[in-house]
Amino acid sequence: MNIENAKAQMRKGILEYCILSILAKKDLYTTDIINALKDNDLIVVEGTLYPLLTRQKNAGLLKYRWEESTQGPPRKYYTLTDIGRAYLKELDESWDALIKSVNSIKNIK
Amino acid sequence: MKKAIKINLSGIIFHIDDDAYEKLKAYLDTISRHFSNKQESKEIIDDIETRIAELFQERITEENQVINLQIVNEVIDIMGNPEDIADSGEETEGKRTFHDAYTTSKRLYRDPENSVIGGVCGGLGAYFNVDPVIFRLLFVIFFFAGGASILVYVILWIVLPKAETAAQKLEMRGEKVNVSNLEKKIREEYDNVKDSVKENVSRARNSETYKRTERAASDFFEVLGKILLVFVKVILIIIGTSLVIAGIGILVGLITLPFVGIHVFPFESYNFSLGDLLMPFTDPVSVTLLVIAVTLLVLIPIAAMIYGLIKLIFNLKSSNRGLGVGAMTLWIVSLLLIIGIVAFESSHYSDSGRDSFSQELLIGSDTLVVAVNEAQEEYLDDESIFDLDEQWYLLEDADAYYGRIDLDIERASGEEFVIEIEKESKGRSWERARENASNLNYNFRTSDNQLILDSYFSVDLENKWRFPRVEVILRVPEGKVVVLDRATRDILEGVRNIDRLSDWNMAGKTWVMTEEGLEKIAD
Repeated sequence: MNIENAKAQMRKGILEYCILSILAKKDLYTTDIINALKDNDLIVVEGTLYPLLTRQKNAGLLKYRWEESTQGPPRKYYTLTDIGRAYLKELDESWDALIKSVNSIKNIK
Repeated sequence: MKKAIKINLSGIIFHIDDDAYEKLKAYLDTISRHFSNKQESKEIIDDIETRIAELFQERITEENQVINLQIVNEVIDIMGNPEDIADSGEETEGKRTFHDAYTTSKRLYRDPENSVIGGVCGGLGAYFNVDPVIFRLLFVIFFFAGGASILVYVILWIVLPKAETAAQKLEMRGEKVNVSNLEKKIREEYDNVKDSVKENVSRARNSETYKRTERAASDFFEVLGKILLVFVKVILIIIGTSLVIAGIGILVGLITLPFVGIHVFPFESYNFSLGDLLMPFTDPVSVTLLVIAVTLLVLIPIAAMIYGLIKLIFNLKSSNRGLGVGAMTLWIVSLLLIIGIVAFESSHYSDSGRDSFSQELLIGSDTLVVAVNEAQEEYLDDESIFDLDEQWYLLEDADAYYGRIDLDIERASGEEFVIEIEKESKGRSWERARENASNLNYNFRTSDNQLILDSYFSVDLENKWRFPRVEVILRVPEGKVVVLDRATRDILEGVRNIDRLSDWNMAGKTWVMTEEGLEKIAD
């Protein structure tokens, strides 16, 4: 079992949650999301994000609108839908519970 | 020096090096191959392309406007390898395993690159490894034979997926989806890129407005437009196919014309061919050349039209320049050959000459009965295969060429009946013309007080037909009588008489020569 792979698996599991969390604060376009995730070392390569976004959009968690850009192609701005917000709320709760569980497991003497 | 091409990424035009393009194309194709859901795959690829466009823009500088392989490699590093990208979306659909994606099975697709209407026939052709034209013809034939094929076509159109990715295109042909085949396929597609650049540019111009428009609305109009386009195409195909069938009919007819007999004059049911018709005028070699040249002169344009129509109907892009130039050359050579032969042959008609002969008819009677040689008339009626206004006869297994004579009746200066035979012909020179004239065969005979005239003179087969003419002039002394047999009505030509009867009406009557001319004395 290799450590890089294990880390990647861990990151991947929470990536979905992180995307929703980032969008909970404000609408962002794809590259902003990428930068936020990259800055926090959640993704290494950008390509992995696109299937996730598309999947979340298709699941009704996200929607997007087009905005013109002064430099470059028009940008897709993503927003959380109501379903997305409800979904995020549940994930938040489960995340908190998870942290608690993990911490308490770690603290078992 | 390096070749660069233009590509359109999310509505922005980039100049990209040849090798860089191939690398990028292979990369995007590999990604899309990993997604089984077409709609989803297209969206993801679109998003990735948009991002790549941004990354490219960041890397274009004043000095370096062209995307090179290094930039593409950098961008691919940033985007990540296709497996990782595909992995992150795996939960949505049952992920296509490595094994599935590399399957060698053949699948039926619609072929968008080889489509007339929906690419169904192209896909069938690719699947069965047969020229799609065969399927198209079958569909058209079955359409005319009952129309069910349209339904079959529409069902196939709806049911069959379009082969869009390189992998699908390979699958359509049943080729192994492996790296080297993909590369081959991509290289083929690259060759098509130049053609689609123009299309891409116009799409790029429209892309911003396009994206703002509601997708549903644009889809609706796109579909409506496609349906209209198909409708027009179907009508064109039906019209075009009818034209092609008619054209092939004409072609077959014309090919056979010079060699096989046809009925030319509806009122004369004799068969003759172009060759038969030309034989009396010139030598067999020239006849053969002329027949071939005339055939080519007529066939080449018709064949070209049929070819053009077929190309139009079946959307064939390939045009064989060599073939076209060859056909055009052949056509011009044919034309020159015809002009040359005709010009050369026409010299045989430049001069005319005569050969005259006259003889007193010593019949010992004041009444001369003029009749025609019935045996000759019957012979020609039975044997002739071509009869131009009863003036010129071609015979099957001809022994000679025949022409009708003219008979005139005039006053004799002496006391005896005189027959004069004026033979006339054309020739290359005056001497040759006279020689040709003297070679004309004409016979008459007398028995008791009868003058029996052949209605026709003949030209031996080895002496060509140089517009010969034979005029027989019967000179009747004043006070003597001629009885014109009914059968002479066909040869009498412009005979003057006091009663002003036409040639036709003069025959079968009895005439006396007076001071003023011929006068009717009995019916």
